[in-house]
Amino acid sequence: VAGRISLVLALVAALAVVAFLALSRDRRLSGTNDVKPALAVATLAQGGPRVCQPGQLVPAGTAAVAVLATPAGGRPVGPLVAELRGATGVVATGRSAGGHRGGWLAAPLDRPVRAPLEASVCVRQVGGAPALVSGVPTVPATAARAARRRLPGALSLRYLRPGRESWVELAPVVAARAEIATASPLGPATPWAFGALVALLWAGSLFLVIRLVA
Amino acid sequence: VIRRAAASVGPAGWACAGLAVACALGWALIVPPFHVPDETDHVAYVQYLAETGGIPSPVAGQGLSTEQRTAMVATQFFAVVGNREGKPPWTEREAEPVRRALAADLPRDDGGAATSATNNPPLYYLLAVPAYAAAADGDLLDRLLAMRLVSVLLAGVTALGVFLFVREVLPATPWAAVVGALAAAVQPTFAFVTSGVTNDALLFAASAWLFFLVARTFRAGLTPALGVALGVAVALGALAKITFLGLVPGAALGLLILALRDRGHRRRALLALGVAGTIVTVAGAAYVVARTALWDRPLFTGAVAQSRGAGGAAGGLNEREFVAYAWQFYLPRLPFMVDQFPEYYPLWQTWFMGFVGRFGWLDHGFPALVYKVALAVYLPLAALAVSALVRARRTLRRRGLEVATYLLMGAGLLALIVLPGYTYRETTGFVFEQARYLLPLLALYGALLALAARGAGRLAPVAGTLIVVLALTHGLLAQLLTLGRYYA
Repeated sequence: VAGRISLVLALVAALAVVAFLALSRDRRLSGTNDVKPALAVATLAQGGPRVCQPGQLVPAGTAAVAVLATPAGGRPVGPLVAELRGATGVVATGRSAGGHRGGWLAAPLDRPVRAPLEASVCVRQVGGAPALVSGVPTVPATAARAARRRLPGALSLRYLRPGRESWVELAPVVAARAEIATASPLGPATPWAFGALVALLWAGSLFLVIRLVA
Repeated sequence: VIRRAAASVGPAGWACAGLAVACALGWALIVPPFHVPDETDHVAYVQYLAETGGIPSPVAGQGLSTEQRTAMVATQFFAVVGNREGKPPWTEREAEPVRRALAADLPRDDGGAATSATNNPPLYYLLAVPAYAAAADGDLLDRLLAMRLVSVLLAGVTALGVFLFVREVLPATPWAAVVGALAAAVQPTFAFVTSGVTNDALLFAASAWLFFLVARTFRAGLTPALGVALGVAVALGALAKITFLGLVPGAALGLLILALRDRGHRRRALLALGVAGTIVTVAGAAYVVARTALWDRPLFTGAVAQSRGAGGAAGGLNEREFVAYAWQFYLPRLPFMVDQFPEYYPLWQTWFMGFVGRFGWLDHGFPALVYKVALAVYLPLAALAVSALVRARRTLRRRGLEVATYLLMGAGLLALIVLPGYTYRETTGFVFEQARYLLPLLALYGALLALAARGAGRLAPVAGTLIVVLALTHGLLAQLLTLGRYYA
């Protein structure tokens, strides 16, 4: 009896942990520009030039742009203003909160991106202390630019979906992405097959434990 | 004989094996192509073997075929590996170039130069060739998934080996084998690695079965049938990965002493050992002949050659430094030792954190808090296991040789890992050891967890239940972490 009670309690605890994680809400990615934030490649300062990263493909469903900003002098940075500049000019703009102490700084856009957009992503600082923005050293052709000058590296950018979502809400999106990324021969059945295997693993293990251990 | 052996396993053993397959298959479905460590090089080995009938050469040049390199570029492998901000193709727009690249009729047989897998014996790759051939009409990613299935099946073979080992070493507690095998089967580092195309999968399986066969020998005596099985297990392991040889001296010494002590059946036991040795010798000789005469390849390449060559440990080994390196690689530094790892602490970062879970090409892991929680879980489990050993000290004394054999097998593996590791660091400045190198000891891990459950005394079934649920939760969280890394 003690074994079975402990099994129920352990399952409840495990379920609580998984549920807590699955239901916690945060801003989720619509994509990134695949650039590793290895070191600081630009400095943003109030009144300074805007820094633009050309050659971006902003994914559909993007509602905010984020850069990895570190306070240059220890004091809080921001707000930042972000702009998406397409062939016809500024397509969307956004402004981050101020008082940022380091990490990914998101600027929600005034107009969400509804279809994949080829654009330059520009950021400038409109308040707070100077900030170092991270990216990776690169060749001049793909480097970020500030006041027509090429910087030594490319900016690392995150594109964010609207609002804050839980993992449960994001699950259909994750499933669709996994199907494409793994190029699995199972096609759309891939996420279902994975879910079925997890269910089989848990059910089979618990059956064995109930029969033989607990 | 086979039917009798299969029946003796019992439904619980087969169920554990099946569940290990389910677990590894789940991993195989969610990990993007090539994102298991060194999977690129193992795929290249199988492809070269399947397409040309030869094994790769330790020469500079193109190690991967044009088809594979194109697939890796198309799937954005180079942008994703080692870069948490890098994501594989997510959208239909990104998927289209991947489909085009995979559909192109590109050369499959123009690889074959040196990669990190070149110095591996070919057995695992030979096993994967039929899977590759079965999916030959599909694109490379179809063939890759088919090859992954070979590793996934070997995960089941490993779990079965762990089950049988634990059943042999803890015969008084039949359910302990279920606890040990399930905990081992869902251990995230093991399940993740065996979801990919890698010869580690065969190494782990052969190692678990060697532990089982040694344990069986200590229970049933060294019979000729067990001699054959031991010889086959050693031959399979050694022809999977050279690392396996680390387990062999301890096993051989323990069994030799066992045979010499067995006054009633000494002749039969020595004969069985001779049979085992003959099988290993014949398999090794066949490999040497095939490698040098059939494939025209040198016997030693890579780290093994370096550790034997003039530029390596044999030529320039600083014994004192090596001892300090080896000690600090596994244990806390002693006050009189020069610090060999000033920037990190291998016991914690390489072994513990790596074992709890680092995935992809070691490019993502759990938040730091999880490793501390894991330590808070493992320490009481270790205490319970020690308590079980203390309680069973009489039995332990009686089975001292057996325990010493397992310890020697483990020590041999650790020594074999550290020697090329030291050489590699001396010649390149980098450290290559990873927690997965300890997974040939998975049978001992399963036994220790089963022992921990037993250490709870009257509450042993409760502890066993908790261990299984904890292990399942750990595995599920690792899979969710991986889903988040690549797809969110």
